[in-house]
Amino acid sequence: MRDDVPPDGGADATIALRVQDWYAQTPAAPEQLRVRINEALGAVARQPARHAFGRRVHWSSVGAAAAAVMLVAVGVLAVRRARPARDAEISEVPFAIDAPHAARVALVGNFNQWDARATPMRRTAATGRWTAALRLAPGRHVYAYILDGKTWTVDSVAPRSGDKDYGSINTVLVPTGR
Amino acid sequence: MRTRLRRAAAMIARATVLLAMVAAGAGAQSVRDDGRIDRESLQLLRAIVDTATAHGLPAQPLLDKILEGSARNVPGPRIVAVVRQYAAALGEARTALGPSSTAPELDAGAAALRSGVLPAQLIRMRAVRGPGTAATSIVILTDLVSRGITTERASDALERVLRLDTDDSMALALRNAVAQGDAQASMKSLGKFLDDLPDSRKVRKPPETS
Repeated sequence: MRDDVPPDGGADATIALRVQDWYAQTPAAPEQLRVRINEALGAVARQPARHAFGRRVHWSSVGAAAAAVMLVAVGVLAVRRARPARDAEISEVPFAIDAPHAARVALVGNFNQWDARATPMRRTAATGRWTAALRLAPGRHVYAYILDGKTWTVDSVAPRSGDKDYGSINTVLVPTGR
Repeated sequence: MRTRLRRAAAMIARATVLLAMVAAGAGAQSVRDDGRIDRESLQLLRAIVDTATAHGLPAQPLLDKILEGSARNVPGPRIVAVVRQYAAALGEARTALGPSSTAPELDAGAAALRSGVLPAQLIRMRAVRGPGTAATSIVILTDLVSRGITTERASDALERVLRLDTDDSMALALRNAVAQGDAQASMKSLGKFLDDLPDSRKVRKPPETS
């Protein structure tokens, strides 16, 4: 009788005794066999390849691919959801200045990196009024006009930017969306 | 959408090239002739922008100042001085308007301070316009001051209007009224506009309940 099994354990105690006896009688595996089993188990652990879709692939690759697909899907959904909101915030802003004697007028501002070639204005022949229209996002936009490539000027009634850092004022607008 | 992306890419590319010129060792001599900036000034500008962004200030208004100066063929040292002053003004504007202010608000606030508006007057603008909604009112305040109205008078008038006005439409009407003439006419227009306003105390009176 084993000391660790209660004497009055009933059926469960009997089963436990049988299992212990069976285990005690089982011969130990030879050392060489244990080494081979361990080597085989190690090889399986190091080789996570499985067959999937009829091809031998690594599950880690499948996982990475699935994660990538999910990320792309989430990104596409996010962009599709965000785009209408951003587009809705864009407003078309008209610009106009009277310069009947100018041969060309350019609109420059922080929306076109102050590039005099970016936004040439169109002249209305009858009035000498120059116009342009830009789609601008909400924000503070500072701008001016360049007449004939050399004279910087502003629309006198437009809001002024305030500072005269570079010698002359600019004008400013703050579109807030449609 | 594509146009906007193209413009954004062009802007980033220009600003990057401008500041990367220092790192690349380009522009060794003054290139003022074609609207560029000398290397020494570019180094200083880069340091100013880096310092500003390290302190959490928006870089875009500073890059815009650099690009504007370059487009106007302003000498590099002058651009450096302007950008340095503007960076300081951005910091001062953030102190006045609060850390949750948006970049357009800080930009407008910096320009306002540079035109003579006091920090206390920006604080008053913030008191009547929450975070993200004060840029227009600050632009209007700056415009009024630029047209010869004293900062106190402009600030008082605008604050009074903004308390009646939820969407800036009345403030824009005030600005439009003032913008029609010279400084003297602007003051008269401002006074008339304010006289025609409803009494704010009546407007703000809560509805009576039975």
